[in-house]
Amino acid sequence: MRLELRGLTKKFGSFTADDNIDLTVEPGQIHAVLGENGAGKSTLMNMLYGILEPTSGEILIDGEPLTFSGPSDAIAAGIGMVHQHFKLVGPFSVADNVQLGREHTRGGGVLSAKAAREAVLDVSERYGLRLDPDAICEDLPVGVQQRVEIVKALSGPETELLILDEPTAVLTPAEITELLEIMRSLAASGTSILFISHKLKEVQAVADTITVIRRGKVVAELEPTASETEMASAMVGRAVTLTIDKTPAEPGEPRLEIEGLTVVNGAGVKVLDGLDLTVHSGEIVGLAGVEGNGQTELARTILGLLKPDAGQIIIDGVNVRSHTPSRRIADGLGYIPEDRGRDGVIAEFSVAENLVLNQYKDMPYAGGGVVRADAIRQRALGSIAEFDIRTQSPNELVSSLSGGNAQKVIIAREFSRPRHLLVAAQPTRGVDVGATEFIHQRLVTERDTGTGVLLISSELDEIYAMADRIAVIYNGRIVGEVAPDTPREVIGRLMVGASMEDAEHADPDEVEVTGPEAEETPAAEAAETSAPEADDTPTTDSGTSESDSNDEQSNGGDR
Amino acid sequence: MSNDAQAPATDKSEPGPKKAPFGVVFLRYMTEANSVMVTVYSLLMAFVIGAILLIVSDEYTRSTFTYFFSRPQDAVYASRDIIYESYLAVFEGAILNLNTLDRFAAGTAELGDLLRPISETLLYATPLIFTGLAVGLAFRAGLFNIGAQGQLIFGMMGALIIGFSLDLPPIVHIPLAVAAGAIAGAAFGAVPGVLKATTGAHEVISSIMLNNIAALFLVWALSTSFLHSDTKTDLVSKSPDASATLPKLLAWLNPSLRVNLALIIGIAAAVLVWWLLSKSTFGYRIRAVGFNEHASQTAGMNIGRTYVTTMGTAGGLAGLAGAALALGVGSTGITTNTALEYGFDGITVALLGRANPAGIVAAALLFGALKAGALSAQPDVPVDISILLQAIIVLFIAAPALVRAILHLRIPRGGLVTLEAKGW
Amino acid sequence: MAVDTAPAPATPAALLDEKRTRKPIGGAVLAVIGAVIGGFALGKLGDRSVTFTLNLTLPDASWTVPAAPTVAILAALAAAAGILVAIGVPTRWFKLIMAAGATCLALSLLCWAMSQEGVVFRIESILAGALFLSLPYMFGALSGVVCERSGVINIGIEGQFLMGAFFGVLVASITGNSYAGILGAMIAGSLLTLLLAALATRYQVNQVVTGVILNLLALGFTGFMYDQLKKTPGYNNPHGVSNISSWLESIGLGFLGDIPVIGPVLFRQSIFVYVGLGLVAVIWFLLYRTRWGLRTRAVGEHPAAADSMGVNVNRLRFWNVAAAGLISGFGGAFFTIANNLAFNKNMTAGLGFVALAVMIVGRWNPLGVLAGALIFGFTTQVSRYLDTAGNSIIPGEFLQMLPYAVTLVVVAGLIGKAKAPAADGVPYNPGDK
Repeated sequence: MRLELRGLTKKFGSFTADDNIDLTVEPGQIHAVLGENGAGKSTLMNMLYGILEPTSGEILIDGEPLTFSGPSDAIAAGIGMVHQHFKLVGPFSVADNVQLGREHTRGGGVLSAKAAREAVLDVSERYGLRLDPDAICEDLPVGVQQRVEIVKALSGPETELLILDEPTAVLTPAEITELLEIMRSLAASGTSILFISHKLKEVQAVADTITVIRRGKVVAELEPTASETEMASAMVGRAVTLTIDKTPAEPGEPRLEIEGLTVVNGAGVKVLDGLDLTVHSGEIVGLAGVEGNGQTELARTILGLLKPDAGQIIIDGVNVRSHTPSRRIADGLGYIPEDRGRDGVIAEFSVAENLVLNQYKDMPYAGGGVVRADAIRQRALGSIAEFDIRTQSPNELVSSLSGGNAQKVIIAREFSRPRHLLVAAQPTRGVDVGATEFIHQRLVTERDTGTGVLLISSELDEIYAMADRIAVIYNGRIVGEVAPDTPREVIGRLMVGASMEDAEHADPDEVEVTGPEAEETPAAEAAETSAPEADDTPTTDSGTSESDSNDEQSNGGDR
Repeated sequence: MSNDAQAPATDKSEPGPKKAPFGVVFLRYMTEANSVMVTVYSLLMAFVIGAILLIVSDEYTRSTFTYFFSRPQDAVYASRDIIYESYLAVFEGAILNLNTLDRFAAGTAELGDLLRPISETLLYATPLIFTGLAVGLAFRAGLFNIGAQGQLIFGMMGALIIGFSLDLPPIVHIPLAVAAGAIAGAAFGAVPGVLKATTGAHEVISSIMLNNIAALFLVWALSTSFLHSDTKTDLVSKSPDASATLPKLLAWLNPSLRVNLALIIGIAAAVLVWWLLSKSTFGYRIRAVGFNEHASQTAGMNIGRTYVTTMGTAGGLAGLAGAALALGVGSTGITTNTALEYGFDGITVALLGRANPAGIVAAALLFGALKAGALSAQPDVPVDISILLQAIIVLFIAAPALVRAILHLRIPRGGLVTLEAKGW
Repeated sequence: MAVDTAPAPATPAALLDEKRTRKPIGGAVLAVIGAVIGGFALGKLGDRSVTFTLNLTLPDASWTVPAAPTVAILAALAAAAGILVAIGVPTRWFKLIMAAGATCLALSLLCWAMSQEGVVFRIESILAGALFLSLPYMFGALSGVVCERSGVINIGIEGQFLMGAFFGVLVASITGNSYAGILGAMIAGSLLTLLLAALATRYQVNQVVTGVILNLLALGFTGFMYDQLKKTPGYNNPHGVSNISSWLESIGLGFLGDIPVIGPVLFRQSIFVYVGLGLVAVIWFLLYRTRWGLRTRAVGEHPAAADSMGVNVNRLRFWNVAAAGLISGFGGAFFTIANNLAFNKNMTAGLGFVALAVMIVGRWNPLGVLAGALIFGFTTQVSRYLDTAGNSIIPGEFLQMLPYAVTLVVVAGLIGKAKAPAADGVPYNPGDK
């Protein structure tokens, strides 16, 4: 199938998400659309799949202009889509998920389980996608769930074009490699693929043609032979510098000592498995790792929101096992949560109220159970000036702030009270460049005053720029601690679970993406080397949190 | 009509920031689905629907419509009469009886007679203030306290037991009995909070179950010799001692004016809840948890404890309603009927009052007036017209989008004020 | 560089561990209650006895057993089940053991209650009555299942009952035809859910709040109309509405009705019983075996997934909820038509809320609903039976509390967690991604 987009435009009010996009996907071709978060990729795909209606422009399939009023029209036209956040009904079997919306019936609307099962097996055999049609989706690993999504997309009547929207975001390195392989074989069998990503290496590895979009506009058409720098600068539109002025660290006494920490989640999985980690005063320890390897749980356990099943956490020499989160906070633990909208701020509260969220009952903000509005207001005015929070007044609701400014509220809250230890999880996610630099600078200042800083980030660039020491987490344990001048390849290998020796002695040639023989490593490398994400618009920010909740819905059982 | 008003308004505002005249601002406000106008329109539409039902359900009026095309004036007059008479009867029972006013002017009626409808309205409004606060406070913490009825029943029993079993002077006895009601309600109200905090059981389901358990428990308790009246054979409790009975506020005018001290306690409770929500650290925590429990938890707040204390406080407020009944209207002993539906009505009061204490008091007065009016107007007017109007009003309040769609109002800046929808 | 990304294979020991279930608290509670009852029975019951009869088919047959040992043995069995559960049992036996323990406990209490002087355990009457009394729960809960499986919380079953009860008897007395009355009841119930459907899907209103308001609306509306009707000539006879033919009471199915025990229970019943049991089967089949059911369940679990496959989420929800009102309206007719009673204000007396509880206890599954409704119906029947028999040791009110207490225990997860459909009560807005 040949897909052509002519001048496709989508406006949300005064905001133009996609502006005059032209794009052509040739039959059997893998066409990558590369762009930062918020560049308009998902909007584009949703127009293609009939979820959103274009403001103007045309969609042509095999030269024929079509309009979609809903996903069913797109499916009928031969388009299948694998969503970034899986659209799988958890308690359903694979076969039921695949047949949903185009059920196999024996007449009278009665389902034929046999036909549904056979249809799944048929597709999975045809494309070499192994699946058990009777397995319950919520019990499957994320990678297999994605395979279900692909089979679902391919099961449409004569699906000839497959849209993959950020398909690697939640996958393990091995699963990524497998996915890229599947994409190649699909293309070889004649299916056109539109591949949306912001990860350069993956795109380079599989794409036949690359279209780069930035701020809703096509800014470049590249060949896969283009260099990474070329792609990155087209995508970001500016030189990417992530260096921070900082002096060498002067580590002091241990602030945080974690020994043999084990946490078992509700599903009985060990999300932390005998993890050991120490953070000293005056150093930034960067915790690198593919997302979902226990980082979230580690941060929550340090704060006391999760109870350890074994091991201990010692803060400033004191075992905090019996301490509540509020006690730990009062004792000097600073905490920047990874999900700002969910855990960081209360959107319906004012800036001033959010600034004292974890001090609301302490002097001078309250006394005798009574809130002191004046003291809170004074504090807010001070913080707004010091941290350059762009707001009209302390009484403005946080929901009206941009993502970067909301993050500054959290930073201001945590940095304006006595603390010895700071846990910063993804502190610059979804924050614009200016705010990112500001936050990085504050983290360094923080370190220099003697605080121990644990920086959890899935952006390896950020880890490299900030950390004095890098710990790599994999499957709930620290698999290596290395200096910040360690080559990326070594850390990349550690991130997929290689031992220290293996990681250090790896052959650097293997890192290039060459083909199926390359195994897990290249994909892992691709997973980390994501471009810095920037996002200046508050609208997309809220969109992120919404889709996150969708994500929980679809595969809450696995995370 | 809103479209007409909207289009020129935007055109005018474009040339410059010239301030629009008051009339335009007012009209623009009127055609916008903000919370004030939604409330106003909800009330109006409810009374219109009530009027239609009155016409349709009345045999005579309906019969005049059968020959509408030959003599339309019959139908029009009949409709007008039934609406006018019904609503007037409700008004006279709730606010001011015009007949008594005439007699008062002629000097044949006392001031006490004139005030009787108001007194009844206040009497019926009093428990509603408490239960409205009980539901409204929980709303602010993101909890739906559908259990005010059960909490009220337990408060009633608690106040009654202290009321008849101790022998104390009124200055001690009344506060003690009232406090016993609050404590009993609080203990019962805390149960769904504890269940939610420890097991995640949804408070709506557990509260519904507890309501039924409380109602059955009352039936059983009334049959025990400890509670059952010594003098009467039907299912009535002992009556509280005179020293525990709430004094009537207007007894000096006329001893039959039943509004009592509970009204003052109710207003005080509303002020207290207002203070609690806006000035105290407890209220700060309630609001924080209500808006975003995850962020509250991350900030070190104990969510489970907030559920328990909020539900306990709410239960205490509902328990006060029980005390007001047991020591006030029920001062001759309580029956299974004393609690009426005050607990459930608390939900509608809280919704109309938008979970804010001043609004709750106003809503309680309105629904109290409806109840008093409907009771006095029966059997000429079906007594359940008060429930019907109440239901229609809050239905619109809860669905501002529906009001907006029916009246073609504009969406205000910041969107419609709707309750957040939560699943089980 | 062996990189193992597959999940670590579980060791055989771990697999064995997983297959055992242990509920220390629940088990201990059961064991203690069982022991206490057993002890008391031996001490207090003396030489009382329990008499069983099959009063409807074999009036002469009767068996008498001594009460004390019977109660004690049953209680001991329950206690034993409790101890087993407390120390851990294989998971596949867990439910069975728990159910057996609970049944023994219930039977021991029942025998105790039936050991009163002059009380005879009329097995057939009690079971037949239990099935009949479980009907409102069954209809209400099935209506709830249809709504909540599609993702709309229907807390307004009580209101739909009231509408059904009122309009059922009204239409029946106007037309003189009970079937027309049932039809009227269904339509009336559906009118109320239609409102719920519109508010929940089109106006995205909080469904719990809406349900509560709709209950109130139904209460006010039926009360209002009832008062007005009483004033209307022709309807103001002592019953409020004119009597209806009572031949709906029971339809015997010939010789099947003469089989001991199951005959009177299953084959000499009112049409409501047959329809109720039939609906359980039909709705189960529709939900799990048809295209409609697949889509309905998808819409309740993950509406965005269904939407992306071309299912119109809000339209399906709308019609499902509207249709569910037909079922609860039918259930409303039970109160008046099936019992041959006139309408009375608030005559459903909170049974709609019990139906909601039955739905939860039945885990949103028609078969679970059947089991839950039967248990609740049985409790109601026994408490009524003992009430009429007089001076029961357990006050009737406490027996009536049992269903509510059971529901509390279930929602608190003490006997396994009740898991609602994931998107239950969450409005779906296709504009959100």
